[in-house]
Amino acid sequence: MKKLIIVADDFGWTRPINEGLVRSYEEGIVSEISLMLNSPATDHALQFIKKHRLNNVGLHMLLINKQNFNRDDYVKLFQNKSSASIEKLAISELELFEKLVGKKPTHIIPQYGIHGNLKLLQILINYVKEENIPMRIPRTALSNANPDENYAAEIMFKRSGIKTTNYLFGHVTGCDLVEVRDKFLDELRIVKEGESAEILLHPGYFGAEILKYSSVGYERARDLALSLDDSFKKSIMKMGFEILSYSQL
Amino acid sequence: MKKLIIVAHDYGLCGSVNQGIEYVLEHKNNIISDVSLLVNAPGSNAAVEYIKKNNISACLNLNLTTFMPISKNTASLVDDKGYFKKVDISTWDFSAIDSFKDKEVENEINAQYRWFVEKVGRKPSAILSRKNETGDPKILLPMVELAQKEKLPVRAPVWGWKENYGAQSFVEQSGVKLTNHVFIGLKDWKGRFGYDPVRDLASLIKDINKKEGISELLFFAGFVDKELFSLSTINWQRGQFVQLIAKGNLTKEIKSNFQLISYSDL
Repeated sequence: MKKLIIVADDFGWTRPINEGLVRSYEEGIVSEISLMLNSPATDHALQFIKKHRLNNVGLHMLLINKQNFNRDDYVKLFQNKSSASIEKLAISELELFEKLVGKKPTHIIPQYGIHGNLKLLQILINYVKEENIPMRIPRTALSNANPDENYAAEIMFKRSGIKTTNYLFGHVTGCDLVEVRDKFLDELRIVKEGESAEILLHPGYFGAEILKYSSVGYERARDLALSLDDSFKKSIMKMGFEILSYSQL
Repeated sequence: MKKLIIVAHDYGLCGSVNQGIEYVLEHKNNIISDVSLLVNAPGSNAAVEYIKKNNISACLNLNLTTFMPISKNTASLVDDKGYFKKVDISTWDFSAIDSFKDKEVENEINAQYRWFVEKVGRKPSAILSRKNETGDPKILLPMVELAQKEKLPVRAPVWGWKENYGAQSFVEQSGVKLTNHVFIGLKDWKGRFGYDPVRDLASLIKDINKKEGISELLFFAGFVDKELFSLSTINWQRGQFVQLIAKGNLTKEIKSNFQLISYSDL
């Protein structure tokens, strides 16, 4: 059997995102939810977790505690802060997750793949190895290069032996749902028997608030539509995939 | 510079669509000249309030294919639950209109017009229709009669968002003012019509410029919520235009290529 985890990023950013995201998990193919702390709708997301008994919730690690962050904030963070300071930020975010959710995260997924930076990667590898928590492949948006071109992080990640998937697929922007769906299906062909992959989505409804924070807006509703598309699910199953959560890896 | 009318489609459809259109209208990068108001949709009344308060150029968006009629004695127009008989835009099958009775169509068109005038307190800037069902002679004829009587312009009665010579020449010959072409700023997910306002922007501008006369560019705008998912197969796509307005490049390109006018300028 081939394993597929379908992750919904950005739970907690805005209320419309939370509402659409929970729908993608309850009615669609999403199998794992990634929660943002210290975000405008984190409290709303926490209510959902309790009320809907959402189990597969991990940490969408931000490190930066402000509403309106961008890639450059992270570039500066890693330039200006020592490993010890980064570690403090990371550990306090992990502790806050446990305090708010009442258990450890089922995965760690740093925003923008910031764990492509070795300072953070080493800290997280140490943590997740000890706690046996899976983590997303460190494909980063911090470099202007192709996100797949980060050998140092990749090999460090691989050698650590932590739980992760063999592949990571994501198509964030673009308005052609059929094209996005077909790209995913095409990419999944590479996964062999016994291997695993993650598809990252940003499902949610689209409201005005997110335009203040993120360049990804209406595409969230596109991803929600994709997650609810029965033919997409059937095609995935037909290819021999089992849709799992990170903890079932 | 070529004149261009830009219409926000489906104003009144529901709360999230209304909010998206209003977000664009209030944005410094706004390019919408007219809204196209549905009179029988969940958000119609709220849209009327906004139009009145902000004095927006609003067109009547005749709708004989979704929700319920507002006139009485509509047996030939509706299914057993009282909703307009279903058409299928995936195959552009509008055969439901075959069984519409002329008198009932005329009554419904007039009722939707009267609703607009009474609620908004003025005439619409033009008469349009939701799926451009006015390209069908059964709906075209009473609509043209109304436009003649009220001295109002209409949208080119294209069919399937493509040219429709018989209907277009009929309107021209009737003396009613009309736009010459309609362009859709949305790449329908089945790829049958329309332009993706990001990928196809250059060809959209080029194609509008190639056409003679006045063109209308129609955009689907809206924020997206659960209600919209339940009301329309075009749901998440409506967010794209709102986001492009917020970013600004689309506005820059359109404004540097066209003179934007309203239906009320025709």
